[in-house]
Amino acid sequence: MSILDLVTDRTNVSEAPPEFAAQHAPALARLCQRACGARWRVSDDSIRDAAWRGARAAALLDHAGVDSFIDTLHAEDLSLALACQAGGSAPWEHFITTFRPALYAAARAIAGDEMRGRELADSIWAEMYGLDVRDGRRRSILSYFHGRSSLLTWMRAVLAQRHVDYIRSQSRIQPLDDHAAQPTQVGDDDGDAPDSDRARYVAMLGKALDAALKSIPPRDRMRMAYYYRHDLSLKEIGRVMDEHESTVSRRLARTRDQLKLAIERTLRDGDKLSHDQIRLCYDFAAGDLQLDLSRALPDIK
Amino acid sequence: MTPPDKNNQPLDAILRRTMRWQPGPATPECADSESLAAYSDRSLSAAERERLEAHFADCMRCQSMLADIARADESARSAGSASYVPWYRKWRVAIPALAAVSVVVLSAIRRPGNDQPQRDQLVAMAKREASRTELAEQAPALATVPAPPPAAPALSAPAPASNEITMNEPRREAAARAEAKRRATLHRMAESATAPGARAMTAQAGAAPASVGAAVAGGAVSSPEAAPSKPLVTIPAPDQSVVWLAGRNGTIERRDAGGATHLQRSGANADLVAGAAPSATVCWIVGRSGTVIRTTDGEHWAVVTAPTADDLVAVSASSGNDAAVTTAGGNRFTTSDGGASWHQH
Repeated sequence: MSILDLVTDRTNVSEAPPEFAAQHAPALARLCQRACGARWRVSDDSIRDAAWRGARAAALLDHAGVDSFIDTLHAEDLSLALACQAGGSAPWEHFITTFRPALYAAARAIAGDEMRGRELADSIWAEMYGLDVRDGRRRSILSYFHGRSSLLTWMRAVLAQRHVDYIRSQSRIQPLDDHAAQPTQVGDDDGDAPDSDRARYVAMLGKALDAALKSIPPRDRMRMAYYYRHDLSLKEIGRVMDEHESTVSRRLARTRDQLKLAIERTLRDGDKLSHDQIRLCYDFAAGDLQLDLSRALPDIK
Repeated sequence: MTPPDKNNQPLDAILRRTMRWQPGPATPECADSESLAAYSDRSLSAAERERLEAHFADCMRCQSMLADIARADESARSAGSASYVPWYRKWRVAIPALAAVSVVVLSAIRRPGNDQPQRDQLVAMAKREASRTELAEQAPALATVPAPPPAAPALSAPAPASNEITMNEPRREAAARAEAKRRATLHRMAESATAPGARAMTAQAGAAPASVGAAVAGGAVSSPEAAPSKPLVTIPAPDQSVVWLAGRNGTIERRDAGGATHLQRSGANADLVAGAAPSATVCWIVGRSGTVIRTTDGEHWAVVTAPTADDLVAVSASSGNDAAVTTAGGNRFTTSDGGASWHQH
């Protein structure tokens, strides 16, 4: 699955309707002024068209927030992207000088590997240049940039999308249904008594953990996922969540404590386990790598 | 996050294991690259952000992409900060700073009885030297304290009053001569630090540390080993009819042309490190923690509301109303109404 396959349904090249230009004339005028289109010989009409395409892609055309949407567009980056799509040598040289090193650095950081990072960046670079020519026009993925973010962040997002697809294609982890190790069910006579108890405790804890995770707010779940699943540092989590590092730390600890309380409440009040049995649940689940906890997890989308 | 403890270790291990899954395929609810980027750049409305977060909370694919964007951003920031050279590693700072430290060390060796704590002073002095060297390249127009006459008679020891307890005469004269020589050297350095060739001068100073004293342009720190009773800065008036000596804890001493000295109340408690006297009755002095004081009659001082709480290392003034102060970090503020208001440059 390529980047283009993911985004082809998002936009089509078309002119902005006259009523759009009329209804939002002041905001569009401000956009054109900020864009400094003359630098790259980008017409105001092109900039207005780009704003219209962006509003349409964001499904905002029928909403009242179009003016504020236009005012938040990264105008200069949008102007540069339009100029590069048009094939100007000066804007493209500027683009290369300004963004190529950052693109390759981002690719290295995302891929975690110099060689893989270079491959990743090379592929994106080629698509931004537009090696695909249709109807006499070079198609560049820059046409999917509408200025809602900075151009650099957008490129990082494209890299991240390409990388996650690469990871999936390279993944050796079996799908959920193919897991060989299945949790031992209660009353199962396949194992001896200690294994049965162990599997039972793990299953109970998994179920309690599942319920506890689903009960916490979305942002708390995100924070936990970034920390435990994606191994982001507190600073990086703060970047994603728009929180200070210390806030991230404090809220992670609070969420963990809440999960612990919720799990133990379920095990104590629901499964009628004693304190020692609850401790065994934790020990078995934490220490036994053979058992599969997949049944306890939220469904993967 | 809080350090792991025995109570939380099992849950931490469980959470790490249960969350180790690969991202799935894209779904219609998944964010496209533009939305991910706009989310990362905080360009979305609150409603859009909340809507996406409800999806991100349970979608490992989108979480993975956002995590990768955050890693790339943090990597770029770290690379940018890695290229930043701390002040103490810049060569044009290190050499004069090293020279200043060397002078202090040599002075301390020469005066074994001096038990004045020096470490903080060394650091502060080196930093001021660093700031001044950088400032010299950025703002060569900084005014300096007028240079003393070659013989520096104003810096010589005053004739003792009849009821004054004095040191042994030869010893006092020797101390005065050493002090005068040191101050003359500092003034020469102060002037050269503001000249266009400041870099070459400081490089030369670095080559001969024994002959160089601590120097901060604008009439700043003059005595490396200033004891509490010894001034940190001397500020002569243009006609040399009066010299102010300012020092630690807000101390100011005024010395007249005849050599008579008397203490003045500054109204400040901080160390005073730089001054400028555009006339015999007007003097501005600055110091640590944003201290700015001024006299307009040569006798009475008033604390001026400072533009910043940062340490001030330099001041220039052309009148009782017009002055410019510079922080240790290189920020410059000017006033044209005697400090009632300031403008940052």
